[in-house]
Amino acid sequence: MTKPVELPQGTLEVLILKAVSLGPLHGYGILLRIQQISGERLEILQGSFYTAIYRLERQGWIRGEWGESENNRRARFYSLTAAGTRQLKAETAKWIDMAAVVAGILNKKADEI
Amino acid sequence: MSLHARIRKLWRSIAPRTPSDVEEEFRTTLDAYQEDLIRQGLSEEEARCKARIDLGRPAAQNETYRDAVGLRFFDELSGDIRYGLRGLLKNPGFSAVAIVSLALGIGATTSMFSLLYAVLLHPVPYADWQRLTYPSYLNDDQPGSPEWWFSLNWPQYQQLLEASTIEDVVGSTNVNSEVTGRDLPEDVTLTYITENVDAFLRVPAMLGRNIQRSDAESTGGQPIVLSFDFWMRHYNGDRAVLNRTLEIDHKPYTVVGVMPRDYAWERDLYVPMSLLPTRERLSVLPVMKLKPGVSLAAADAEIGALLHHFAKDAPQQFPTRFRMRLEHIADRILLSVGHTLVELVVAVLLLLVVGCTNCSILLLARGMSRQSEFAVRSALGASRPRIVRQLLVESLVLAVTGSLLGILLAFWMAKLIFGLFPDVFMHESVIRINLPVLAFSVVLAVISGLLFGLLPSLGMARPDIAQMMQTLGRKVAGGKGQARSLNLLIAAQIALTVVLMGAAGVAISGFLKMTHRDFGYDPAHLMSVPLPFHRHSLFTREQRVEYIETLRRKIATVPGVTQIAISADATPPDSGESRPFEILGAPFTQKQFMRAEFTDAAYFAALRIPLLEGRLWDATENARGAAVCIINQTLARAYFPHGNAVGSRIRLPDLEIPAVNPGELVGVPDTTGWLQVIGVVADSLDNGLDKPVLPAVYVPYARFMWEFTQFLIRTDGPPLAALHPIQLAIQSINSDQQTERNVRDLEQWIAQEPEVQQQRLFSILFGLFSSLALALALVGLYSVVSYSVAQRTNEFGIRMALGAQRAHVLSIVSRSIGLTVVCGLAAGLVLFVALHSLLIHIADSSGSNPFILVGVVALFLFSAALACTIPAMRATSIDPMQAIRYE
Repeated sequence: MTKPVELPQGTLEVLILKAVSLGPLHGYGILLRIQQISGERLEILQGSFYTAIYRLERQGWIRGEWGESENNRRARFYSLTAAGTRQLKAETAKWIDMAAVVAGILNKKADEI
Repeated sequence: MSLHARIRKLWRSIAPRTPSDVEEEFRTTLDAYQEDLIRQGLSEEEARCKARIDLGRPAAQNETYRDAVGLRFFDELSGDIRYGLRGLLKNPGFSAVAIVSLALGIGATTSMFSLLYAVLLHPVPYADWQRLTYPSYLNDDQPGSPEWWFSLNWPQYQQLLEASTIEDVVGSTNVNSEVTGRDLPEDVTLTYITENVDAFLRVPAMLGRNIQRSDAESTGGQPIVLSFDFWMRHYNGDRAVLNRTLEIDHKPYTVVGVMPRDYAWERDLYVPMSLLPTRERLSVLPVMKLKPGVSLAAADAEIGALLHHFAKDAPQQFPTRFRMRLEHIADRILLSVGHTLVELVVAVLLLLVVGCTNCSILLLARGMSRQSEFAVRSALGASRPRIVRQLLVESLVLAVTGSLLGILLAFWMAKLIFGLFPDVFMHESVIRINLPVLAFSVVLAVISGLLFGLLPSLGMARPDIAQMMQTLGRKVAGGKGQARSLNLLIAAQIALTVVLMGAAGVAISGFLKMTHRDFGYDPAHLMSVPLPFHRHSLFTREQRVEYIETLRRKIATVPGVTQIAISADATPPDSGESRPFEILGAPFTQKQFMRAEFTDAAYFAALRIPLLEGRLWDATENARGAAVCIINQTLARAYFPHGNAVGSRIRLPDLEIPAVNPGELVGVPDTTGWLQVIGVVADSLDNGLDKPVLPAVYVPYARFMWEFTQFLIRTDGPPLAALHPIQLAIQSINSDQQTERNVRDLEQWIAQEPEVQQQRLFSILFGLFSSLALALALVGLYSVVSYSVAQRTNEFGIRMALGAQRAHVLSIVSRSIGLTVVCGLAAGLVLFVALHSLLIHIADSSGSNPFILVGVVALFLFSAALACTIPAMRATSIDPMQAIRYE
C-alpha cells in the first residue's frame, strides 16, 4: 500500500465535484469514490467533508435530491449542475496548469537554468 | 407552471435546509460507514464509536451546516436579540421606563415635526404655490400701516393678464348673497371666480369638478361649486349632492362639484365669472402666478408701473402715494406661526435629548450592575466587539420598540393639537404623518439607539477580569469613570429639564398676562349680531337710520335682552378702522392714526365703558349725524396733556363718500368736517389682546353708514340662547333680513382670537413637554439613587450595625447625589437665562419674570428631593443583619 497524501486547502471541493461528475452519489458514496479513485491514498474522514458538500450545494454547483440507495435505504443523492460543470472545468484547468508550472520549476536542474 | 409552484421552487432554492433533513442525511452516512466498519471486523460498539469519532455527532451537524452556508452571523445575532429581550422582560420596570422615555421623546418630536412640515414646508395644496402672490401694496398715505390689497375692474384685470412677469391671474369677486327657497334665508358669500381657476390651482375636486374654462362659454345651466364647509353645513356631507339644484338669490344653480377641505380659497360657493355681467365686475381681487424665475422685485416693478398708470385714470381707486409690495401667499403663515413652531420644535428636541439621556442613564446604571456578567463572558472568550454588539443589540431593541410606540403617539398628538386649535393654523394646512416625517423618526430612533447604546457599552466592554473574579458574588460600586459619566448625564438631563421648565414658565405667564389684562370692557353676556343690508334697498341715510332704530325697538321686546347697542364694526378687542386724523390748531402730520368707531351712545353703557369727562350725544344728535365725537383716554392723554380735550375739534380727512358705487356708503354731506369733542371715555381694547390700546374716536353711527350694521346685545343669560327669538323678531319686521353667520359671544370671541389660541397652545405644549421632561428626569434620578443604594446595601448594613443612625445614612445617600443635582440646576439656570435674553433680543417679547425662575427652582428641588428620598428611606429601613447578608 502506498503512503497516504495530505490534501492542500481547498482541494476537497474540486475532488467532490469530480466524483459527482461521474454520476449521482450520496455523501458516503462520494467519500468511497474519492478513496477508490485515489487508490486509497486519501484519508478524508473529517468533519470538513460535509462542510465542503454543504458549501458546494449552497453555491449551486451540486444539487441534492432524496432517493433510494443500493441497499434500499433513503439517501440524499448529489449530482452536478450546469454551473458545477463549468466550475469543475475551470478548476481542473487551473490545477493542471499550476501543477505543471510548479513541477516544471521543481524538476529543473542547475545546468538547465 | 403555476405561480404558486414557481414561488415554492424559488423558495426551496434559497431557503436553508431544515435541521431534521440535515441530520437524516448525516445519519445515513454514519450508518453506512458503521456497517462497513463491522464488515471490516470491528464489534458493533467499536464501530459506533469510531464512526462518531471520525465523522462527528449527528446532533451537532446542523450547526456545521449553518456555519458552512454562512448563517452563523444571523444565528448569533438572533441569540443576542433573544438574550436581550429576555433580559428586558426580566426587568419590566427598567424596560418600561426606558421605552416610554424614548417613545415620549420620539412621539413629541415627530408630531411637532409633522406640524412644522404641514405648516411651513407644505402649507397649501395649490400647484406652484411658491409663485402665487397676493395683490398687496404699501399705502404711503398711511405709513407704517400693514400691507393693503387692491382689486381691479374688469378692463384693468385684462390688462394685468398681459404683464410679462405674470403667468396667469385668478380674479374673484365676493358678493353677499343668501340661499333662498327654504324657510329661513341663509347668508352666504358667493364668489364669482375666473374660469381659469382649475388650471391655475390644480386642486382635484373631492366630488365632481371645479369651475373650468368650458364654463365661460356654456349657456345651459348655471354651475356652482361648493366649499367643504358649506357642503358639510348645508348638505350634512351628503355625497349624492351632484346635479342637485341650489337656489341663490332666487336663481337656480346646478351643483357640479365639492372641493376638498384643505381648499379654502374663499368661504362658501364658487360660480363662473361669466355669470356676472361685465359692467358689474368692478372689484376683482387678482391673485397672481409669477412666471418661473421671476423675482418679487421684478414683478413689483412691472405691476407697480401698471397700477400707477391705472391710478391716473381712476385716482379714487388707489391712494395718492403707494408702492407695490407683492407678497407670497405662504408668507403670512410663516410670520404668524412659524416662529412659535420653531420654538416648539426646539423644545421637543430638548425633550428627545432628555429621553435619550434617561435611557442612557438607565442602561449605564444597569450595565454597571452587570459587570460581573461581562467579566464571566470575557473570561469564557467573548471578544470586545462581541460584548459591544450584545449591548448595542439590546439598546436597538429598546430604540425600535420605543420608536414604534412613539410613532403611534405622534399620530395621536398631531391630531389632537390640530383638533384642539384649528384657528391657530391656516385653513389650508392639513396635518398628516407622511413619509418624510416617518423617515425622520426612524432615523431619529436609530441614531438615538446608537447614541445611548454606545456610550455605556464602550466603557464596559473591557472589564478588569481579575478584579471582577475576585469580587465575584459581591456587589461592587461601579468604576470611577462610569460613575462620573453617570453623574454628568444626570446633571445634563437636569439642566435641560430646567431650561424647558423655564420656557414653559415664560409661555404660561405670557398667556396669563394676555387673558388677565384689563380689557376696559365687559365681554360677559354680550354678543354681536351683524346684519347685512340688501343691495339696492335702503338707499338713503334716513332710511337706514329709521330701519335700524325700528329693529332696535323690536329686539328690545325680546325677553332676556337687557341692553342693545349699535356699532358698525366697533367690536373689541380689535375694533374700528385705522384712519388718519387732524386736530384743529395743531400741525397736521401724515403719521397720526387712530381707530374710528361708529356707534350709538348706548354703546358705552352696553360695554360698560365709563365716561370720564364731558357728556354723550343724544338720540337726535345721532339721528342727524351731528358733528360731535367722543375720544378715548389714550388719545386725550397723548394729544391733550393739559386736560383740554373736551371742546376741541377733530377731523377725519379721508372719510369721503367715494364716487364709485355710491349706493354702498351713505353719510351726511359734510363727512370730513370738524367734529367737536364732547366727552372722554376710558380705554378699551381696540388693537388686539397683545398690543397696547390705540387712540380712538367715537362718532355717531348715522354720520357715515356702510351696507351693514351690527347690534351688540347684552342678555341676562347665555347670549347665544337668545339668538333665535331675536332672529324671529327681526324677521317680523322684514322677512328677507338675514343675520350674518358669524354671530359671536364676545367672551368666546376672546378665547378664539388667534393670538390667544396660539399663546394657549404654546403654553399647553410647553407645559406638557416640560412636565414630561421633569417626569423623565425624576425617574432617571430615582433609578440612579435606587441603584447606588442597592450597590451599597452591605455598607449601610455594616454602618448601622456599628451604630450609625438612620438620619446619618440618609445624609450619606443624599450628599452624593445632591452635588450633581445642584450642579445640573445651576447649569440649567445659566443656560436658560442666556437663551431667554437671546430670545427677548430676537423676538422682542416681554421681559422675564424673576418669579418664574424661583418657581421653577422650587418645583424642581421639591420633586428631586422626593425622588431621592424614597429610595434612600427604603435603604435605611432595611434590617442591618439582612443588609449585611444581602447580595
